[in-house]
Amino acid sequence: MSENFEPGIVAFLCNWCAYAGADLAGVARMQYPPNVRIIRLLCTGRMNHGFILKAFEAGADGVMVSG
Amino acid sequence: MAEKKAQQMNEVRKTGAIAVLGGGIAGIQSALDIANSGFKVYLVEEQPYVGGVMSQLDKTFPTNDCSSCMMGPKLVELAHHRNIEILTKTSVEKLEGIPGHFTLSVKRHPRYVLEDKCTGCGECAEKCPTVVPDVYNMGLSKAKAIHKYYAQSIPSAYNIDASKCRNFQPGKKCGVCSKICQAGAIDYKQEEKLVDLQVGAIILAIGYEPFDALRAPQYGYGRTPNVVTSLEFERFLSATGPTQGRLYRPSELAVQARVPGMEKALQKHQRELEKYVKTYGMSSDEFIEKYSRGELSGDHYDEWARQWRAHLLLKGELEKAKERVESMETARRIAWIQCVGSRDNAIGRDYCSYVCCMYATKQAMIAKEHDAGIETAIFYIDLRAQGKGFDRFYERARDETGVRYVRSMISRIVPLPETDRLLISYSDENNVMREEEFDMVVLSVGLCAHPSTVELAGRLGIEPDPFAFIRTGPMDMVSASRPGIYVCGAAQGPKDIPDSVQQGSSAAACATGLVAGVRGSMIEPPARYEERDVRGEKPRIGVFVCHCGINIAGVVDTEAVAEYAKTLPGVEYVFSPMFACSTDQQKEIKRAIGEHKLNRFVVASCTPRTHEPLFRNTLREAGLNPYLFELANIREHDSWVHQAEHERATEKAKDLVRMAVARVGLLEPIYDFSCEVVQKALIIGGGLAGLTAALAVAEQGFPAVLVEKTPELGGNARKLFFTEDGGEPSKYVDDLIKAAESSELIKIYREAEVLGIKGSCGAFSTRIGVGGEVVEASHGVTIIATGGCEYKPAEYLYGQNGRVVTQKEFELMLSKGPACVQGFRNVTMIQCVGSREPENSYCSRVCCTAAVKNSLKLKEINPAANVSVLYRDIRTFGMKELQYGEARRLGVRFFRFDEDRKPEAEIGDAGLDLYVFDSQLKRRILLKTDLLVLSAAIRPGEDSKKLAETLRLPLDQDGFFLEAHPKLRPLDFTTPGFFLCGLAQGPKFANESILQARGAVSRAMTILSRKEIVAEGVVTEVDPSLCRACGECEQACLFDAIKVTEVENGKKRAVVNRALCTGCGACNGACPTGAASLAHFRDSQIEAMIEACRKISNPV
Repeated sequence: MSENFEPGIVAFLCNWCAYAGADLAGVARMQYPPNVRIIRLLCTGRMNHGFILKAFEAGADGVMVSG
Repeated sequence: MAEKKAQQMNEVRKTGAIAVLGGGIAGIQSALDIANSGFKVYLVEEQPYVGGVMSQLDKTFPTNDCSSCMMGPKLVELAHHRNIEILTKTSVEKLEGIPGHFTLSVKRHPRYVLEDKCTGCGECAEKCPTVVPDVYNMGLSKAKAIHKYYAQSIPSAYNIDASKCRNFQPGKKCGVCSKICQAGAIDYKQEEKLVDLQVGAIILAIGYEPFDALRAPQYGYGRTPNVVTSLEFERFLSATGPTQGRLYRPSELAVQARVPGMEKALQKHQRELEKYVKTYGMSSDEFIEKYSRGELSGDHYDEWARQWRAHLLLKGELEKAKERVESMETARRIAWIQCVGSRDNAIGRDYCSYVCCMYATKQAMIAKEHDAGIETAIFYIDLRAQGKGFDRFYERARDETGVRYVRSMISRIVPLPETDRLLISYSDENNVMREEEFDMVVLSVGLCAHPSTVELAGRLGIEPDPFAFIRTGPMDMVSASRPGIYVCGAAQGPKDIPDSVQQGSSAAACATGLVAGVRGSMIEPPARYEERDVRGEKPRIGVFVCHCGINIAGVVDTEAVAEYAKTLPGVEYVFSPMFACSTDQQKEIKRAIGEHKLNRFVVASCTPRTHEPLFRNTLREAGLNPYLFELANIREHDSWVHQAEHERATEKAKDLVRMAVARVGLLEPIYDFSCEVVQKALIIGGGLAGLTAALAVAEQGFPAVLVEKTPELGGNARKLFFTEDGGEPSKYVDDLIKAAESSELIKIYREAEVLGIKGSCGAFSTRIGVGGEVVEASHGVTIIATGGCEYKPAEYLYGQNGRVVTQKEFELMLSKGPACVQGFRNVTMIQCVGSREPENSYCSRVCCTAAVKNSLKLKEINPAANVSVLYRDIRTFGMKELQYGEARRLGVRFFRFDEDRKPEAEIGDAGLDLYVFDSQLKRRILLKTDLLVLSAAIRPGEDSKKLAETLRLPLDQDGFFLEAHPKLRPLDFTTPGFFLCGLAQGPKFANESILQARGAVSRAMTILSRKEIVAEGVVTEVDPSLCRACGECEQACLFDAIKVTEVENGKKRAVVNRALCTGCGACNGACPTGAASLAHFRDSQIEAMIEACRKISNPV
């Protein structure tokens, strides 16, 4: 693994809490690395194992589920 | 006949609109209830933003939920409601007319920012040169003359404070914001405007003002930096406050704030000194050496020397200040002082402010949550935790969090100049004088009437009370003295958030009841549009890449993103507007959809949480199904959080657009659906609350079915003969019974019981057992008003000795007249019998006031009687404190005992002997007693548990029914269509039960007033060909929304109740075959986005 490795992350966020949190981070201009791609769900109850595997298959280095 | 006709005419002329004055949480609740039950609302607010004090709170007791997170959904609903017109910066001029048709004249003060044009981007405030104290942060931080209170402010437009803005100062000019605003939203020429509002009723919700701590000079507020008020401390605790939630002391912050100014001054000094250096060709050091030896003399040398000394002084001060800032630590020891501006006769604030004990407890808990090492102490007189769940909260703070409670009067506070700490002297529980040092002292300031109340009351023609709150009657806590005007929230008297919210609903019920005949007359039905069928068409996608002024375009290369979007499959049209959300761009979207035959649309701009409804509506107007739309959030999730990384932010924006395009191509039309409402209410319980609710439903013009388990209506209220403020509940309830019995709209079942319920919100069917028969009732809503009862004590010889009675039994004796109680010389009362015990860890709220009220009545009948009240904390909250004061003046004696040293009752020679260890006198005393009155707890109704099981409704730890949220939804159940009120919800006074009952009806009217209710179509669908009826989905669903049901021919499969489905998708994950699929979030639609992540623009 090279020293400047930065993981590509796919994040599944709940519309009502974590997604709102990501919005607030924006409003507060909190800076973070641009290596996350957010997929909005109405609730993380919608998650299933398949999505996580699919994300890794698509080349993600990490998957975050937050809700 | 003529009279009837005149009455009908009058009804016809009534106005189906209501003005709500005040946009705090009480007013917001009123406005939403009214607007959701078929009336137009004008929400009038003097400030530039709605939200009131609640929006400034960090957390709220007793759940410690984040205040603004709780308010968020209500604010969003308010902002987008088509029946609500929000008029901020608006004051009341005059009121004319009669109930049902008032003309309210208001003055709209200029905002100087056009609400429909301002996008809330904030560039103006960034560039505004005028720095002003930030009002939202209680002046503890700085803002600009053009400002928005907080990120989620409603309206979202900025506001110019003309008293501060340079452009409005005589002889000055600025215009920076106007130049910088790309949306053209600034208008310095706006003028005051008088507007007449035609309304049927008025609700006053103007809130309160915190007590001015300068009026209690003994605490040193204003002179000593580290003495702050509770509202200031609230801002210190908040992550959006002046210190981002870090508890630095104001003394240190003041030093920190001085540093830049000192640095500037020092630089100026240095420049001045350099001039001398240049002129005289020697360094300052050389000069001063010679000067001090007396080798140089003359005025200019004296001046140089003077400046040199000043320079040194300043340099020293700056170094010291910097040192102090560097070693700055957060406060370690914090004290709260209770009853500042409350329970204080000397300053004319005799009443208790209700909320301070609890908010101080909350603040101490949160402070310790920030840093467990912080030591907290609350100095108090009586700890008043009378609300639902409050006593447990207090105990948790004391026993688990380690908040120290000191029952003491503060004798003085001395500031220690060396450390800026404060020395508090007090006498402790053993009457020993003690001294303690604290880093910070928080004054728990009370609630005062809003300063504009008296003048406003004059303009509206209503009476204030002696403390300038709005006067209401003893049984009716929302009607002001002029018919047609109602009051709610702290404008009526000190109260907490849940009480304000339920009073807001209650006032809404009264106001809408007045104009029920013209429901729907002033609201606009949602417009309908023809929809084009796009099934079978290949995706033809339009894409907007928004600049958002420079909010996005300043970081992301929007042109490059737009070019990239053109290369994506299915994309037929791309445009990059300045503001995608502006009105003219909605026209552009519609034009593009028509011209390019688009069937899907993507907007890359900001968050769907605020802007999706707008764009969906545009699609609807363009003849496309609104769900064929997707937002790519390239602002909150991109340009705002990657401000320094333009290239990578641009790459990320491309990714987000690619993901959105991939998803939108797979989206399907979705149709919101409606269910017919049975416009009838079922009310369970025929006591004060149930009767009030039934009559309120009838007043709204709808039928109600009232189910009472006993043969008689009226419940507990029949045995409540007088209240502390002159009410007569038993008489009042008699009138209600007569009214209910004679109402054509109310069907009463006595000796009846609810056996079972079917259906869901809007369409229930309930089986009621009456006299051995079963009747079926269909109804749209259910209101639980099953009441409670007085605890039958097992303590203090109750039931064994005739001289021991409960407070309720004593009231009956008092009401029977002098003969019954004249013989008593010595009467003793014991408080908290069955309350605040380990197994019943709640306060029964009413008993302290009942003891005071009955003491006063006895003293009135028999002034020679000695009354002693043995108590733990006297909780005569709000205005009830006045009666407590009166009782003390009349010689009622109060002895405090500790929880672990309860009084003991013995049978004596000529009566009862009562021993109590008085915790103030620190000795055991004997009270000879003729009559012992026990303030027995209030318990939940005996049948609550059974009913809860029948209706599948939750109970709290104490057996009372559990509301959806203790703060903002006190009258709703989580299950839609169910509401609660009265003692069933928790201990309360008779007038509070009445208030809640009307409030519950107001909540119920949001459903009952509609012929049909519309539910969002994002629900799970089941593919019958894949469903195996295994029941996994049923297990996974928290809302009873999916059930394995027999369909035709004995075949079973999962069936979704669309009205109950929340779209969480839990059943999708549980389903082994993929039969359960959530519309709009189908596997394929989510997987397309994941797949589109394949090319995440990874860093090298």
